Amino acid sequence: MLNLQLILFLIFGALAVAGGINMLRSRSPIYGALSLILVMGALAVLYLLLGAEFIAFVQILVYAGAIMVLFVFVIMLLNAQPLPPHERARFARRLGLPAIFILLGILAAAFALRYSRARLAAGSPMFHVRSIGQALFHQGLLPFEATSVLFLVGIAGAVLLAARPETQSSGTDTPAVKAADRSGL
Amino acid sequence: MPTSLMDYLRILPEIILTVFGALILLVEGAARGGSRGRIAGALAFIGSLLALAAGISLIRYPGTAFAGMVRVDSVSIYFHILILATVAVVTLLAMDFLRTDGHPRGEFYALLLFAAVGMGFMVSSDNLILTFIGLEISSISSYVLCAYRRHAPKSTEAALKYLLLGSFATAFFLYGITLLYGASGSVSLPAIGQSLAGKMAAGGLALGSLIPLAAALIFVGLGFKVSAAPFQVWTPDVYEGAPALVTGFISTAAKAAAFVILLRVFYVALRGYSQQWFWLMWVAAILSMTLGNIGALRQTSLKRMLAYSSVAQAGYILVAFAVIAQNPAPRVLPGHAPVSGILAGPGVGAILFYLTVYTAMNLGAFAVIARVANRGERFTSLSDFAGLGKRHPGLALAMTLFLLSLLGVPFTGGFLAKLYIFQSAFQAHLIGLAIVALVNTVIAAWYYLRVVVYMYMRPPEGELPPIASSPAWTLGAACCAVVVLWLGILPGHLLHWLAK
Repeated sequence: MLNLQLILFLIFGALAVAGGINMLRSRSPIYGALSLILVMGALAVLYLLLGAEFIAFVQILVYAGAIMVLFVFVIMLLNAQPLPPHERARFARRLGLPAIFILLGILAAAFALRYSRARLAAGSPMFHVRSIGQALFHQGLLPFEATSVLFLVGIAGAVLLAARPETQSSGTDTPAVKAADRSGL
Repeated sequence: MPTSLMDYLRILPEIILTVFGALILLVEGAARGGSRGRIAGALAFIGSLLALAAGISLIRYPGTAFAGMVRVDSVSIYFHILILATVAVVTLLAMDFLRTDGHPRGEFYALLLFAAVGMGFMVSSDNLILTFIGLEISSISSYVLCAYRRHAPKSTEAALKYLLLGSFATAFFLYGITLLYGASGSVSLPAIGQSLAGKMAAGGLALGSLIPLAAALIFVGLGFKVSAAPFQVWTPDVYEGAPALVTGFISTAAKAAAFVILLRVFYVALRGYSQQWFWLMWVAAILSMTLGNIGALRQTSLKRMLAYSSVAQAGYILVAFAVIAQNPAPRVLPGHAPVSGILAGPGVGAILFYLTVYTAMNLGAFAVIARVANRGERFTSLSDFAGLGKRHPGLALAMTLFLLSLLGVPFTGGFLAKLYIFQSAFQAHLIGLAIVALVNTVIAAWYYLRVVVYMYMRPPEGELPPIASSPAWTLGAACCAVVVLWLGILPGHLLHWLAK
C-alpha cells in the first residue's frame, strides 16, 4: 500500500516539477498558463496523498479551475504574443540557480527542525471535510448565505455594466467609453 | 446549535430586501419597453417599506441570532430604520430621474436594495466575518451604482477610482481583522473585548503590540468608507462623477453604516485601549473638519463642494468618537453589552442624532442637485443655480433649508446636531477640539451661504431648460425636509427615545 503511495508520489511530484520548469521555459504565455494548470493538478494529487482531501478539491476548484480560467481569459483578451527570444540578464543566469538551491535548503532545514520524522510519518490530516462542513454550516451559516448575496450583486453589476445600451440618451452623454464596455467594466 | 425561527426573524429586513432585489432582477429581465424600470421602482418601494416595517418590528426581538453572529440591539434597530427609510426615499427620488435621464434600467433599484442588505448586516453584525461580508456587499453595489451613467466618462471614471481605492481600503480592513484575530483568538466582537480585557488585567502586553497596529489598519479601512481625512482624497472625484442621487445615497446611508462598525469595533472590542485610539480620533477629526471645509471654499461645482462638506461633516462626528474614547462607558460590563448598553456612554447619542440629521439634509441637498442638473447632469455648477429663486422657488427654498441645516443654523436639525456634539466635547473637557469645530463651522458658513446668495441675488445665466415636474421626487424631498425641520424644532421625541 505504501509502495503505491510512493509510486504515485514520484509520478505526480515529477509531473509538478516538470510542469513548473516548462512554465518558466515556455515563451508563449498560453503554454505557460497550461503548464501551470498541470502543476496545480499534480499538487492536488499530492495533497490527496497526504490525506488532505478538502485542500485537494479546493486546489482543483479554485486554482486549477477558477484562477487559471481567469489567466487564460486575460491572455486571450490581451492577445499576448510569444516573447521574442532574447538574452537573459547576466545576473539572473549567475544567481538564479544558486538562489533556488539556497531557498530549497532553507525550506528543508525549517521542516526538518520543526517536525520530527515520527510526526511526519503519523500524517495527521488537519482538515476533514466533515469538520469543515460543520464549521461552515453551523457557526458560519449566515456569512455563507450572505456571501451568495455578494455574488449576486457582482453578477448583476457585471451584466448591467457590460450590457449593450437600448436607448441612446442625449446631453453630455457621449456614446464613447467603448473600451470600458469591452473590458467588462 | 440548530437555527430557529427567531434567528430568521432577527434578519427579516435583510431577507425581505434580498427577495425583492432578486424579484426586480427577474421582472426586469422579462419587462419590455415603457414598463421597464416602472415596475422595478414600485417593487423597490414596496420592498423597502416592508423591510422598514420588519426593521421596526425588531424592537420586539432583541438579542443575538445565528450563534452570536447577529446582535439585535438598540443601535442596530435604530440604524436599520434610518437606512431603510433612506432607501425608500431614494427610491422615490429616483423614479422619475431614471426615466428623464435616459437610463430606465430597473437594476438600479435591485442594487440599491442589495446595498441595503449589506448595510443591514454591517449595523447588526457582532462578528467581523459577517461585518466584512456586509461591507463588501454594500461597497460592490455602490461601485456599480456609481457607474450607472455608463456613457458619461466622468461616471465611469468615478466608479473605477472608487473600485480601486475601495478595494485597497477593504484590504486594510481585512488585515486589521487578521491581526485582531491573531491577538485575541476570535472574530466575535464581545469575545475580542473579553480576551483583550483579560490580557490587560493580566498585564500581558507582549501581544499588545499587535493591537495598536490592528486598530490603525481597521481605522484606515473604515476611515476610507466614511471619507475621514487623511483618507478623503477619493471623495470629490467620486461624488462628482457618480449620479447625484447615488452620491446622496452613498454619502449618507453607507457612511452611517460604516460609522456603526467603527463604533462597534472600537467601543465593544477595543474598549480597553481607548487611551490609545483617542488620539487617532482626535487627529482624524481635526484633519477632516479643516481639510474638508478649506477644500470646499474653492469649489464651483456644487457636487464637489458637497463632497468636501461631507468630509467635514465626518470630522464633526469623529469629535464625538473622541468624546467616547475619553469616557468609556462605565455601565457596560465586559463582554455583556446589554441591549441598550451601547447607548449608555456620552457622545453615542450625539452620533446617532447627528447621523440622522445628516442623512436627511445631505440626501435632500443631493436630491435638489439631481433635479436642477436635469438630463445628463449638465447643470451642476454654482452659476447654474443663479436665479433659481425666481426660476423655481420651491426647489430654491428646499435647497436653502438643506444648506442652512448643513451649516447648523437654529431651527434646523443641523443646529441641534452640532450643538450636541460640541456640548459633549465641552463636557469631556476637550476644549481644543470643540474650538476647532466651532471655527470650522464659521468657515463653512462662507460656502454654504454663497449658494443661497447665488440662488436669490444673481440673475440666471443663459437659457436653461425647464425642470420637469415629478410628484414622486417631491414626496421624497418633502420627507427629507420634514425630518430636518422636525428634528430642528421638536427634537424631544427622538432625544427621549435615544435616552432610553
